[in-house]
Amino acid sequence: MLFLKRTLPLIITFVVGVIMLSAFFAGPSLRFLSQLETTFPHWIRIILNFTMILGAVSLFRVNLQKISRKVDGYGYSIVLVVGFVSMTFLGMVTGGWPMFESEVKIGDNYHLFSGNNISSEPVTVVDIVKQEGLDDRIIVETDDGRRMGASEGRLRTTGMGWLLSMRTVVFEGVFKAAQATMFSLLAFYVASASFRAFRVKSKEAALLMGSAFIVMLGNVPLGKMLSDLLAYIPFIGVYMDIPALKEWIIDYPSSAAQSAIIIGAVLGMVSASIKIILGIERSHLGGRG
Amino acid sequence: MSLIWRPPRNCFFFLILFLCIFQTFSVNAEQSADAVSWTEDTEITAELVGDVVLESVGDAEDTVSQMPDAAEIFRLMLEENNAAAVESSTDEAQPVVVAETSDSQAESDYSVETAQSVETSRSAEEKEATEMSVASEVLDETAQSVEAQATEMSVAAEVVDETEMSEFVPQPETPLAQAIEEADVDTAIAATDVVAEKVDEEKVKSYFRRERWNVLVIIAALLCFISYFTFQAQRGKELFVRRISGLSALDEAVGRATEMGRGVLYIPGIRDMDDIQTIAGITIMGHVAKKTAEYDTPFYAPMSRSFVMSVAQEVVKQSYLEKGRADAFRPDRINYLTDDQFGFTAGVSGLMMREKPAACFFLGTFFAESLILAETGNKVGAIQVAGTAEPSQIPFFVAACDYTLIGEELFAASAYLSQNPKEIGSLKGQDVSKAIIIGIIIIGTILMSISTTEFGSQTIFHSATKAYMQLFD
Repeated sequence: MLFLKRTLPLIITFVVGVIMLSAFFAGPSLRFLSQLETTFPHWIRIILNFTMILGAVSLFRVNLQKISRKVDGYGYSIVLVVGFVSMTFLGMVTGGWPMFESEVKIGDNYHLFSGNNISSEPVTVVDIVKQEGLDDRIIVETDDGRRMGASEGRLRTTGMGWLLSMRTVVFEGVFKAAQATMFSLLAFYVASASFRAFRVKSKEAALLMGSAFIVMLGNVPLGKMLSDLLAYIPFIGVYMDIPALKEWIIDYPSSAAQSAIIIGAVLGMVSASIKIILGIERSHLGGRG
Repeated sequence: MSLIWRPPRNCFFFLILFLCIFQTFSVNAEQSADAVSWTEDTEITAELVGDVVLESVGDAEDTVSQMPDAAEIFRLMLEENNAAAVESSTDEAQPVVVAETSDSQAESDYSVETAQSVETSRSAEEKEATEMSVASEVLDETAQSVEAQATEMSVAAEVVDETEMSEFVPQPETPLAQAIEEADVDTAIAATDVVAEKVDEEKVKSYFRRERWNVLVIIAALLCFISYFTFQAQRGKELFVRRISGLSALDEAVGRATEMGRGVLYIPGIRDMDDIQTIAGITIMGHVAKKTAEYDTPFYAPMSRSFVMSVAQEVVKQSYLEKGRADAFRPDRINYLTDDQFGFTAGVSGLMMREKPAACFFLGTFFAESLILAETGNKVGAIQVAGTAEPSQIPFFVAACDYTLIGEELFAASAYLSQNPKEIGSLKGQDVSKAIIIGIIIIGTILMSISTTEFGSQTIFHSATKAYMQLFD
């Protein structure tokens, strides 16, 4: 058991790590090796897709337990479970699966579907043009007699059109809106965090405050106006160009600090990777590092 | 009996397997939809089904008449290809030639000096043409030699440079001179083509990507330093590691949560296990979980990736086992929320507001959600320790958290907390590599600063800087 839990993962990590390292340096003569550089990430994607099982099981189990035990806030769990089930149903049914679609016939009415939109008025199939080696071209006619071509994948029955509309309402109207709301909160949090961070409690905080003040002023038209006024001060006025000072702060001190952080972080990443490949670092497998 | 219907446990497996297959299909469907979306979107148009206004045919004919014919396009393509070949072979010499050309253009008032320069350039061209013929012979005879390639390339490059320059310098209008010029161009292009083919063949035959040799050197050096210092540490040599306040505060934060009778919240970032920062976050999570097991403090760890959740459950379970508190381990507290960035943020914020943890740890990869999480933690009065290697998020954590691990400190955490000699040695090796890189940067900065001055641009510093920059390009 210990072999499966500890030794085998270490062996796999070492072998795959060495292969990937070799693939990174392999030249065109070692095509089979260099191709792994692009193939392995695909494998990772497939594996990660299948780990959805774990996530869905966890989500369902935890929330169903909360509902059954009626713990505090179990109403949220009900919303979650209902949302999960309904979106799964809508997604599966309207996802263009063959089992939910019928054969297109001349004279039938359909709605045109494109992207996330579905036409409100139905169209009638007037002709199906067979094309060798290609999908059939379906000619449809609108109520006002206008004809156009559409692929089979763009036609939806009325029932399916309703389901698609529901999916669009839930996804675009609820989910995307909630997502945008969460993102918008950031603006208020930036203000409150800045207020705390800019309180001058030490020399460093004062420096931070001063730099932030210049950068903020430099980003708004007021900064330019202020610079124009300050330019009238003899001798030092010409050096009080706030937008230029802002640029300097961003291009030099800030950029230098960020470069230093990036270099340190990248070295740390390389070092951590080497430790994991060589099995020195094994805390992520559980237990002592 | 519960009022809520609970499906039989066996159903879960089949349900989730089905969802999983569905996800795979939908991903494939999305990919194929992306591939054909352009054609399908453009398909529902009147033009494609013949519902086109006939007047537009005339416009189309005009457009066709304005288009270049096939022979013209072929000629333009050939010119482009030749230009590309010339550029690749004259990569080094070209900037100098361009500079000279611009100078000569500036003075192109047909003065006596210009005429003299034209004569000089003509004689140089004739000389180069002679050299070129010699080079061509050498090319045929010793085509396999790499040294010969270099010589030929340089000669060919010079000739082509001179030829290019002649486009800008006023030329004598004799037919003979023009003929010589054209012959020069053809010969140079032929020579560069042959050389380029040989270089391509060399590349195809190579087993190693030469352009990545500098990466190999850095990794090899890092490996050497890590091995050396690990060996030293194992032999008992004490290696100094500076105090990292963020990591020292971990125990303090868990202790505070215990005293307050509240829980601990841990987020190892929002990326998957293929991200090294997530692994670092999971490593620290093991240490924090040991402390919570020891103090019997509730440990919450909502996850945005199901694979990370699985790994985290194993790590925390192992930590509780090591502390002899396997019964206190609650896997439902290490649960998956969602892959969606702001959905996850909303879920974690809700958990914070409900459970009011006394300590929050954000260690891993974070993006825009960093500030929302940190501010919510601040609102509930939690002591917060954050760490990420994302430079854009560090200021937010610094502003909103009590302690922040900046960049590399996140990766040093494992060694710092475990005090394992092997890991401490690797940390030391990493530090030495960093010192060397700092040295390289300082030398480069000095060289570059000198070479850009008026004094330095004319001296050996200029070429030294160029060579130095090429070394690390």
